[in-house]
Amino acid sequence: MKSSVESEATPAIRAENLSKTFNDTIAVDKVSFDVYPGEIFGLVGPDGAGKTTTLRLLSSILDPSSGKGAVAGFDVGSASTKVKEQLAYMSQRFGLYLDLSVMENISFYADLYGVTGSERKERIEELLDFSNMRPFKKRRAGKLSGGMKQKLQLICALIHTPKVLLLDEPTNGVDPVSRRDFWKILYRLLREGVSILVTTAYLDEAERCDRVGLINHGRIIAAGTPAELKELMDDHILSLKSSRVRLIQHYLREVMPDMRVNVFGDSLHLNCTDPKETEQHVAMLLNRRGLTYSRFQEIPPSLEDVFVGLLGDDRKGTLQESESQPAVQLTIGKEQPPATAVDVSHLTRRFGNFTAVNDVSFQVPAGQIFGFLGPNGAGKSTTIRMLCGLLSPSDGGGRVAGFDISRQTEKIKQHIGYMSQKFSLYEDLTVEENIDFYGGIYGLSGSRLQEKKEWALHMSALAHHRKSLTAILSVGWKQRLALACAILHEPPIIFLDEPTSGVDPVSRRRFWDLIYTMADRGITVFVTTHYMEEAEYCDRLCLIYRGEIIAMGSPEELKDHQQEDILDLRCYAPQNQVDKLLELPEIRDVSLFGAGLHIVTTDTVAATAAITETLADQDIRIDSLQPIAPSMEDVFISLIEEVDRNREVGKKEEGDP
Amino acid sequence: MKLRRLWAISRKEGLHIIRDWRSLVLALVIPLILVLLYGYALTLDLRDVPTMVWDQSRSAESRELLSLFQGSPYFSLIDFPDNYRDLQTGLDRGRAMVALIIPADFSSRVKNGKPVQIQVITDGSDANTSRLATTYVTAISGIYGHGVSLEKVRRNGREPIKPVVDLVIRVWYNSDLRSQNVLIPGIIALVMIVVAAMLTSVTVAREWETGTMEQLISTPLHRSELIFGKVIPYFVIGMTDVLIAVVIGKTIFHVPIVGNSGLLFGFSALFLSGALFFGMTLSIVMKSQVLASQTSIMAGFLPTLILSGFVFAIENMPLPLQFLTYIVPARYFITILRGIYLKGIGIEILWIEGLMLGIYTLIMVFLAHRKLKFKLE
Repeated sequence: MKSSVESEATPAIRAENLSKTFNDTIAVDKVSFDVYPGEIFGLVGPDGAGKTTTLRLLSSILDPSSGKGAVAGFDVGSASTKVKEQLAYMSQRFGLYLDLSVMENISFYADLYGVTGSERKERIEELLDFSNMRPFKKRRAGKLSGGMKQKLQLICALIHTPKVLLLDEPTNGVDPVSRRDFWKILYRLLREGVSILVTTAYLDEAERCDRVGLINHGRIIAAGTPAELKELMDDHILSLKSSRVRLIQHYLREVMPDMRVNVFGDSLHLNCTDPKETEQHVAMLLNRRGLTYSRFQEIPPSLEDVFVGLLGDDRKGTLQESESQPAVQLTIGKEQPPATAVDVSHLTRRFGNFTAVNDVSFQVPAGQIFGFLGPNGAGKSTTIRMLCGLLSPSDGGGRVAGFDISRQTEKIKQHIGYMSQKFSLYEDLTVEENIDFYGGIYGLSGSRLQEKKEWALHMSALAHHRKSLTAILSVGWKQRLALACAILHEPPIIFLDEPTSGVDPVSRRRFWDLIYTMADRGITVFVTTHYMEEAEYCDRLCLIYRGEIIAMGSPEELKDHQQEDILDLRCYAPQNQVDKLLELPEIRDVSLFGAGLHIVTTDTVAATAAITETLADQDIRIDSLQPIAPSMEDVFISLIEEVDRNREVGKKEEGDP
Repeated sequence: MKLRRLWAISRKEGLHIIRDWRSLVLALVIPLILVLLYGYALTLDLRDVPTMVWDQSRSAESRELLSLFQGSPYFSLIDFPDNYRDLQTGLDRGRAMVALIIPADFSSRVKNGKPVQIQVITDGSDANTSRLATTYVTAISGIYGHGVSLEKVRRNGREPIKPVVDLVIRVWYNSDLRSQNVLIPGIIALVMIVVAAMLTSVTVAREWETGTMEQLISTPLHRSELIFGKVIPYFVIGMTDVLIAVVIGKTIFHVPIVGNSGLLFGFSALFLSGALFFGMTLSIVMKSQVLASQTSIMAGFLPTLILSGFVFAIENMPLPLQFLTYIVPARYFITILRGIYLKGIGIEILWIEGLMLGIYTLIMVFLAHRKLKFKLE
């Protein structure tokens, strides 16, 4: 059984006209694709497109309505036992027992898969090593950070050395550093010949897949290598960078309504058929308005361009409907909000002998979008809970909306909106009933409640679904509804804790449109996110790590602060080069970035030479190697690694005086 | 069924129980409390009935009668008012349950051998006690009357006439007629059904609610491994509870075990299994922890309390209800327990009840398997 002697031509995963119908809705509609050994296939699409259902059908935990699926040659319908022995499935919901330790969870799954004896011991050791989870063997799973939980779940799934791995949004809500670790594990598995089928909301992850299927309304509307998908775009993409991309977008949408203009981080992407002419035209328009920009150039489309291009249109209807109907004017309370919305100093919170937040001080001027970044478990949520008056600080203090966070918590609660990571909505209530409930909590009634309800329904574009049960809404819609409910009482400040986690790219854009609408009306938005391109949308960022602030400033300032240079390398199978390149003395760090590598160095010239040589030795052609402006993700990772390096040094010095 | 996977599930389930120490304490303390509560509170014996006496006679004869009451464990003379009003107030307020009124001519009529009337008033709002008390009063006055006539016959120098029928009453199995001896076995059944069904009713539902079930069903795990694996640790807890109940019964309530205690634990294991699989089936069907545990308490506790013959005699129930009792497993278990505890009988008589419990358990195991779908819907 162990020695797999299948020919290259036998697919490890096969879907043939796979369909699933729930009552009268078609969740998966005649989906067909093959995934070969050692290949990773990405399934990308909006929420509710049928990604999860497809994975469930293939893992034989859901019976297909029609069509066939096969895993490692076994039919998922008739040979479900065989299928289950060959595959590992990681559902979106936790498969871990939080009251069991890391090792107990692993042992449990090892027993379930019948992994015994020396094989078991070796496998566990190996998995602990390459996931860097060894130090946490005895820790309860519930006490792990989000990123570590996902890694543990992957270890549990890999314990029996499966041939096929089905991953349902495995990096959802996981910070960039942990995501990178996670992908390193995946690449290793691919080299060992495992086939992986993954769904993801991160399109940079999709770029790394060998092939990608774009799924919408249960149908695969396009499939192929990322390069092939990009060729589907007839349009050319023009990109320009500016610190005022939102403003430019607004203006261009006004004067050139036929052109698609989208914000990508700190850039604006324009879809056009004639790049030369458009470039001149737009440049002229912007110069005349005095809007500054840089790096105006044609770029190859990214998968996100394709995604937004192919799926964005589909939703245009609803998008414009809500935009064209002017929302009821949001008025901020009679009292003028203080100029500084949040002002905290030396904020500290300890749990037992663990310091979750350590001596944190910052100010947020009113009307700003303030981004709060950091890895899982860095102390973001704890800080937000203190600011919202839900948790009292151990030390230090401050004011939110002019009220003291230790003493005037009731006042604070009346003057802020808070949207937590977890869904705060009642799934068994309808959209309207949820709004009524939250309106009631905030003391709204009668015509005032009616007015606010209509406003909330328009804002979240859920007017047509007012009678629908909340449970049936997709994640993106739920989040918009949750936001609407959180601001029914028109607070001057709103706290959003990972509001877009697990939301598809198009819905995420819509959500950020809402955030901008609120900021335009003078509401202060305090937001945490793991999507680094979203960090670029913030006016100011604060990076927190191990409970301490390690950087603060506007996205531009943080990027300028980056002293090292970044080289972008595109070549065949870049993931195989990471370890080799890390050995080069000229190179400080190497990380996967989209379909390529980002190489951190202090000496671009020397590093370029060294990389060229290393790849030439292996006869690998370099598709491109060029210095680039660092992205937010580069900045994030390098800042965190700097802290880690300093800690290491500090520890060593302590160790041997 | 692979032993290793069965063991993996059991071990994991055991860890859940140990980690959540509150539920463990609950599982061990609830039976303790239930046994003590029912053992003390639920007694059907008539003892120390508060009695008021208006003795209008105040004679040696009346005192002799009253001394019989005083000497009986069933009555306790609490007050001796000398008017009717006080008597009534005592009964109204519930201070007394029985009132005796001895007429002024009691002494002379007894002496002259004339029939005499004693008025006995009992509190009928507690029908059961009232009925029992009346019987005892009748018995005591009978004894008194018998003593008086014997005395008269002797004084006249004649041989007393021997009664034609001389009753020789012997109560088997529970010679003191202690109701606790009868109730404690029933309490064991009650405790077991409540604790067992409550414990297992959350286990499968919890996996669905936290989402771990989706992961479990994607592994080679079989239904029977999950069902039996989950039951094992709760079985251990359940048997501990039986031990606790038996020990308390023996030490605190002094209920002797006449029969074979090995057999007692054997049958308990069978009944416990049925109850555990019953809770498990509820958990599988309901898929919600709250719903399943509430249902298990309702569906386990009430029939056991009412329809098992624990307190209320099945023979006195209307016929349709009597039929219903046949599907209450505690009915058979209580028969078994009383058989072993009091009668000391063995498997040669109790095998029918044992068979019924076995069938019940098998049905529950079958239902649990039938209802547990290793597929999403």
